[in-house]
Amino acid sequence: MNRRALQRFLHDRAAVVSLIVFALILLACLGMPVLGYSDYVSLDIGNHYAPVSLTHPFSTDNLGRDVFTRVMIGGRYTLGLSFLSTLIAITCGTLLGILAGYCGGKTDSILMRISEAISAIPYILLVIFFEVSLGWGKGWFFLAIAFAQIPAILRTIRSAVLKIRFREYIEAARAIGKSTPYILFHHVLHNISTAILVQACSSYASAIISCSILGYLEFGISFPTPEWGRMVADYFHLVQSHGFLVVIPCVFISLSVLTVTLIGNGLRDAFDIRGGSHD
Amino acid sequence: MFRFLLKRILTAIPVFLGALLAVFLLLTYIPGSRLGYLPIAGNGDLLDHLFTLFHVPANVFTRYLRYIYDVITKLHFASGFHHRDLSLEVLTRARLTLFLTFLAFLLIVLVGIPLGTYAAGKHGKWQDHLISVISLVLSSIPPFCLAIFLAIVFCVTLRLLPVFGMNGPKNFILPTITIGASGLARTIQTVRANVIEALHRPYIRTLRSHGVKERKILFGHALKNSMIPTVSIIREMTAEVFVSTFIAEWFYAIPGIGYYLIQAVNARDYGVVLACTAVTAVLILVFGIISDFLYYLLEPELRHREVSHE
Repeated sequence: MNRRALQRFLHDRAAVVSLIVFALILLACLGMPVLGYSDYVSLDIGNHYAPVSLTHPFSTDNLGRDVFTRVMIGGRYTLGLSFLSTLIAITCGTLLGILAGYCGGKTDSILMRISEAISAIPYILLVIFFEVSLGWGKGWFFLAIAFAQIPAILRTIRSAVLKIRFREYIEAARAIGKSTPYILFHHVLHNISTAILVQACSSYASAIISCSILGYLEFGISFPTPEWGRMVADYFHLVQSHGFLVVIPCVFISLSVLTVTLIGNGLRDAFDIRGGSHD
Repeated sequence: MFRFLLKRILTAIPVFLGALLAVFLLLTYIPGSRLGYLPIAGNGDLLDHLFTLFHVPANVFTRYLRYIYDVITKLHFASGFHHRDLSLEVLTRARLTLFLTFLAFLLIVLVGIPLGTYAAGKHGKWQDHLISVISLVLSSIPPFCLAIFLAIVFCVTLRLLPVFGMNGPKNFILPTITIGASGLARTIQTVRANVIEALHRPYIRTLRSHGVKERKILFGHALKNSMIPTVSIIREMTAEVFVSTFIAEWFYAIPGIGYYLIQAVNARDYGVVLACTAVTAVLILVFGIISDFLYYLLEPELRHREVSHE
């Protein structure tokens, strides 16, 4: 089943191209600072808006800082923090979703009510809570993003579990006396693993959006550390004269989200989640 | 039908109270919060009498009850900072936010559903590819980036639309697009996928063999049968649309609830934050109830068995 899914994924041109582009962005964010593009703070006011060259591939900003370096360092924060929040949200959301879907009844309805309540609170609030209690501007907002994403993940995982909840193999496992934790981890988790993977991709895409939104609202990482959303806010007053300073981070955010979404779509089609006939 | 609505509204109330309690506790226990100083005793109404009668100690829960009581009975939103009632401010702003959100949902429904169906009808042709690519791109641009792109194109380069101001219907075009774009894109994708799936069903072949017009098959039958997933995807995006509304208000300087909230967060004015959250939570829950009701109308099965929340 896995090899067939991989083959189908590799035949999906959009997904493969996105995978390559996203890998390149990631590689550049991790590798470029090592290759000498690592100075993102020192000012060189005489050299502002320098012509595009190998030392300044994206020119320099109004204070003479290299834009390329800032974008690459910023990507580490945006993509890294979004990844952390997705990891936390997927772990918690999956556990709770399995609990809700498998146990059903009271547990299920209480968990659904709680998740409804969470999604009624704008996550900007959770951001201020985490940021003020753990330290402002240090990037703790990823906990808030993770928290805000749990309801959506919970719903998806729950409906995936409900689909296989009453299948024969689970009945059989229970009939031969397997314990509930064993059934949950060996049968349920194993059978919804592809759904989790696809959900992780779409969660990651929306985490990147949330992360950059918080940066744009200046709730995120504090000055002078670059972060893609924060860069947009910082350079916004220059949008009429030097629009590229704003457009470049915007393009990087959108490109990352687009590629992650396409990878997720490719995985979904490859595993044929909609049909649900992969087990 | 009324039983369903009543039941749905009654289940929304504890959810609202729980959400507000969570926010209240969060904001009270933030280091340096002034929310702890919200007035607890005062105007000598029923709640105060009860508190003094039963010797209820003043703690965070009594303050919470007091707050809820004021909001429900007098529409009074206490503010920790200003010592004045925020209700006029909050409700005027909420009206504007609601109007913007309504416009965005109008865009999502009135443009998204026909476009998605049209793309499904042209499945595999260039119109379909064009619509798919555009919706894919729209769904992956964060609202503030889209706002900047739109401002650069329509305001700076083409000089067609104003960026800021509240002088007429022209001012609402760009915010509506900014708020609705990603929801619109997702609606188009969902409708398209579901209509394409419906078009492969046997009953469509039967209709075709009877000589029913293609347009009628598409919009009358295939679309009608894929409305349920559409309503559920629109229901799921409600919270996201509200966040986009906040961003659009911030960008276009529209004095709505989101602008107020972000300003209050920056000023650490937690009374205002609490009031804005309460109003937003009510709006989100009301949208949830409306879409559940639509769901109920569309899904005949639901009318017969217990309402499940999937």
